[in-house]
Amino acid sequence: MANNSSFKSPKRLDSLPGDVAGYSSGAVPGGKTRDVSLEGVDFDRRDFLGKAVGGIGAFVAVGALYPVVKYIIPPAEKEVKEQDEIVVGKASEVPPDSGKIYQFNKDKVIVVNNGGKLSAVSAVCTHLGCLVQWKADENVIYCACHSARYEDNGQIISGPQPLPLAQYNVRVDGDDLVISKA
Amino acid sequence: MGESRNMAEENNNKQAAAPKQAAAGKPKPPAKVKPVPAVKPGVPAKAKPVPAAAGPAKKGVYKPAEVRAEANPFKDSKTSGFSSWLQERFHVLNPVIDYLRKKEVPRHRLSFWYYFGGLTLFFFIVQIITGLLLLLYYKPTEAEAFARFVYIQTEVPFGWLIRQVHAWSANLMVLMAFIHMFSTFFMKAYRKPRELMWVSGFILLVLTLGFGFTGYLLPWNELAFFATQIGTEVPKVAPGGEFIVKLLRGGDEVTGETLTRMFAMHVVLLPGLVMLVLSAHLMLMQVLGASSPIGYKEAGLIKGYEKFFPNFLAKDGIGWMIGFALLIYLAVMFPWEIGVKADPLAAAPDGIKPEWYFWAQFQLLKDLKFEGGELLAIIIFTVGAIVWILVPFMDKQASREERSPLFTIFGLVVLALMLIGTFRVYLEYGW
Repeated sequence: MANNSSFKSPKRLDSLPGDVAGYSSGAVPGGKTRDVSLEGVDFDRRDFLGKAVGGIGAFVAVGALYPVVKYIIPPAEKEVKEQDEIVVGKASEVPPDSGKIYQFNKDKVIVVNNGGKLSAVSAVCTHLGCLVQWKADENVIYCACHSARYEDNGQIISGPQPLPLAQYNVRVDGDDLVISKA
Repeated sequence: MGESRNMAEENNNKQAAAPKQAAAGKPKPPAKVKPVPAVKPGVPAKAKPVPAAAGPAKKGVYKPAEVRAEANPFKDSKTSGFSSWLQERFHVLNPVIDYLRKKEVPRHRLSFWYYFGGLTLFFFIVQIITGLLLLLYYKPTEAEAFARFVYIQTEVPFGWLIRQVHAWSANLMVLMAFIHMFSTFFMKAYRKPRELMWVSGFILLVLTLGFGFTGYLLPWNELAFFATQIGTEVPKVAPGGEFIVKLLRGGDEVTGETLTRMFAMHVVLLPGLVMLVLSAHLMLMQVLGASSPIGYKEAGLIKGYEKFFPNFLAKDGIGWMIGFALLIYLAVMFPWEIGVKADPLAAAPDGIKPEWYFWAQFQLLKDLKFEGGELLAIIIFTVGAIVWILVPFMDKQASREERSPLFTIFGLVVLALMLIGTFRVYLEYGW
């Protein structure tokens, strides 16, 4: 049975410099025993040192990896309580035939003034997440990234988007523009 | 499993057997070398399939005989699957690897000092890793720097550890660099042919101190602010110094502009320069090897040589792990303070002093209080540094492998002055 794993196997000797490699094919020439040819090479010690340092080093490295991985994962953002209704600005900010985007909780919402009629839908295009705009000349909500078109209530007209835009309620309270969940 | 091993063994025998037959002077007609259709397993076939180069081309298709060097002359030299995969593809690198293998480290009673260069490198690697991690959260602006610095240490998981390790590793790196420098000095390891190792090492030390100085401002706390204020004030006494100060500060005073400049130097300019010089330093180390102290060879004090790869490297690894343990111990047990946010309109805090590795210079500046004393101090530093870097070219005796006690005394005086200056600052200010 070939004992390839032993350090004294012929193959392993190939990595040694000098004459030793010469008889790597397995034959021991000239009656010279292998032990003589290996004089001065302290296999056990060399092996042990490398393995011990490598092993403990790997252990230390893995130990050090834990805090590093924990550190890289971004810490949780502070939870802000979701509100049902938010005063986002003044009504005058959205004159007729225009649209403006406001932050509403975690969503971004576009308030559209379509000739005096206010409506509010999510401003995040359902295709690839670009922010949409109100295109007054076509009376559509339009996404400039890939020409997605929506009605002012968020329904799909044309384009690559898979879903309509989520709807919100909008009203004017005195001067204030108020967005609320639908 | 056992059988396939057997076969592998036999294959090896066949391959190795082929050249022997050729050497034995038994020329065979090419026909015999042609592939035999079915080689019976277990029978050591004499007709080992030899690449097409030897045999005639197939009928019908003209194929020029390929004349190539053996695809992988090292195919028998390693056993593991992965390394043979690599060998097959990158055996061009074998001469380089063989060259690296040749490096040896002399063993004698001062061998201990050989570890400090490696330790400096280790702490530098720690600096790169922790520095990259700190970059994930740090923001180098006047408004945000301190807040983010606090955020890293209080909110980010293990952020405190990363920052403390970065701060302590910086200090240990400087300390190891100094020990490395003085040990090579006293062993005269700078002598011919290693002059450029000394020069590149000194440049590395200066760059390292630059790292320390530029990094000190980044927390943007009071201590950092005033330390940078004082440090960048120093060149003013020299002719043309005003301009240098302005360059360093990005204006007349230490402001957010200074912070941005220091940050840029700390994370881009200095690392780039260090990488260049460090490559040169390590390459010289590889080519020239470790030096033995003068006269040791002749006196028979060299107990032998050990291979750098893997023996000395493994021992280096032990040193690194001890260094790492020390680093973590210091970082956990003796944390650097967070301090208070820098305020350009606040009075300087009491007992403000630079980092310990600038204490000797700091003390000299304090001692030379007379008119023009500061300028004199700067001249002393500059001339001292130039002399220090030129030592290998001045110490002709050492280059002839003769003892040079004058330079030993010179080194002792420099070391003593630095230690005394440092100690005096310690006595006056405490840690």
